[in-house]
Amino acid sequence: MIREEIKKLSKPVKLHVFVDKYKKSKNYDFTMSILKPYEENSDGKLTIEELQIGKNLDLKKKYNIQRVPSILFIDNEGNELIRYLAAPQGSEIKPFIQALLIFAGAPNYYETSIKKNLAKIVPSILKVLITSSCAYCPQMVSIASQFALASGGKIKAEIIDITENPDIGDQYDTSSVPYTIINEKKPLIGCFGADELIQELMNEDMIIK
Amino acid sequence: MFNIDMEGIDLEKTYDLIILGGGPSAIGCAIYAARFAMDILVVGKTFGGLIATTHIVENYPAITSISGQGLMDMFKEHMDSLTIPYISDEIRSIDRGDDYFELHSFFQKFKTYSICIATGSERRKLGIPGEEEFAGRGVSYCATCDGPFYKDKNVCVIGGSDSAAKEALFLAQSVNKVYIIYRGEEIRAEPINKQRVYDNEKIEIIYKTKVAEIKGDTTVKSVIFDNGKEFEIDGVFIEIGSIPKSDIAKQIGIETNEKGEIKINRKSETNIPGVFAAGDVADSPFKQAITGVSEGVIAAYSAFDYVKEMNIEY
Repeated sequence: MIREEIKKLSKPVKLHVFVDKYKKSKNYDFTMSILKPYEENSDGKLTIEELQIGKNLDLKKKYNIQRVPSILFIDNEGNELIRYLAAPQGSEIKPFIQALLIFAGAPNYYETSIKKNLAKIVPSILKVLITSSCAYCPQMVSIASQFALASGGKIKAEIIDITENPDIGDQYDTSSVPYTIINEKKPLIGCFGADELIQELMNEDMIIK
Repeated sequence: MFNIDMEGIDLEKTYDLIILGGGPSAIGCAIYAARFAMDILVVGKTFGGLIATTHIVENYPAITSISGQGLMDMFKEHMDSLTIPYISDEIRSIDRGDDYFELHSFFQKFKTYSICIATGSERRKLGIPGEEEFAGRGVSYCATCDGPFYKDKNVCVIGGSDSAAKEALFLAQSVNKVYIIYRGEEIRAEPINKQRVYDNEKIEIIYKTKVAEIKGDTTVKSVIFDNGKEFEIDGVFIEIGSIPKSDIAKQIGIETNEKGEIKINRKSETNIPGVFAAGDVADSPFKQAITGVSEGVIAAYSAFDYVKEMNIEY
């Protein structure tokens, strides 16, 4: 599927992957091996740029990199849109490719409504906690990613595989996925519709901790 | 699973048929309608429907054994081979024009000459103290999604249906012990699954018992039975049936029965011309993927006839 779909990239895009060469772990090797086929099959349109955190302290600070590898979608203005603390594999391939295609300019179904309502949405971070065996996670990832891509950085999506990052799952006492945390405040448990999610984001009570 | 791109999606046109839903009934309808060369669009809140969360399906003809997710991946593959457009969205209201319907979601509006409502059903909740409080922190409605969190722990499944039995069998693969808590005297699972439950040493059935409360601190620690006894447990899986998602139908005056299911005839027609229904949301007595597909297919055929008789000039 990767080979067939990634060729649809309409223009060159770059993903930034923050790594630590001094702590090359199984996670590093695994994530890079998962990302490689995306780059190799893109006809040169996708570039995976590895950024050693030790040599990019300013970027590490700017993007608040807390763990490696972190895969970031950063727009031309330097805004972080999507962060993956997950290797995009299995059922997560589709939402990842979808995000890449939209990142490169493909139509985004939710874009008009997100832009129209952007003034009513407070700057938001959507953390989507997933596992690879979860049937509804890819859809939640897709919606969160499309919202982030349409918002120009006002909404950030963080896709977190809690099998790879069990401490994050523990932090929220999560025993159900998808588990979406909005601005460290309100969790949405299970698969929510895009309209329910945007209405949560437009809730004036939402604050960032 | 959703479409990766928006190929085949035209938000300006009037479709021949818009199918609401993302489960087997909706996709069965879509596949047949596409082969009838109808202009169609599928709009679903979640692709896959409830069956996507079933760990094993062994009664879908021609497929001996497959996971619910695997089955729906095959449905999607079939859909993609016919380039059937799918959108993740939910229709909130429908307006009726002279010979068309206008469907509204938060994000878009769509026009269509006919509709198939195959919105399925959602898990029924117990409505007891602690259920909402511990949702996602020990209370679950999906064993395949959340079972892996309970490795070597003790969990209970509340309910006595075939689905409850299958959830228990799935959980028994990884947990320490599964208790099926059922208010009746004998579980109502298919005989083959009932026997598997009886044969599984990790599963124990507690009959004639209801759960009155779920308790814990940051996560679930115990349940309180209706006889007042406290029972220590790490996870509670609720499997007590489902409720049809028929609000959109009721809104436009479609007749439903006392359970809220849409009344359909053998042509999958509702009481409103041009609106058809299929699957768990309809009033069929036997809720199975195969019967839902069948109703969806019949709805496609009826919608094809309906639109053909309109003599629409394109």
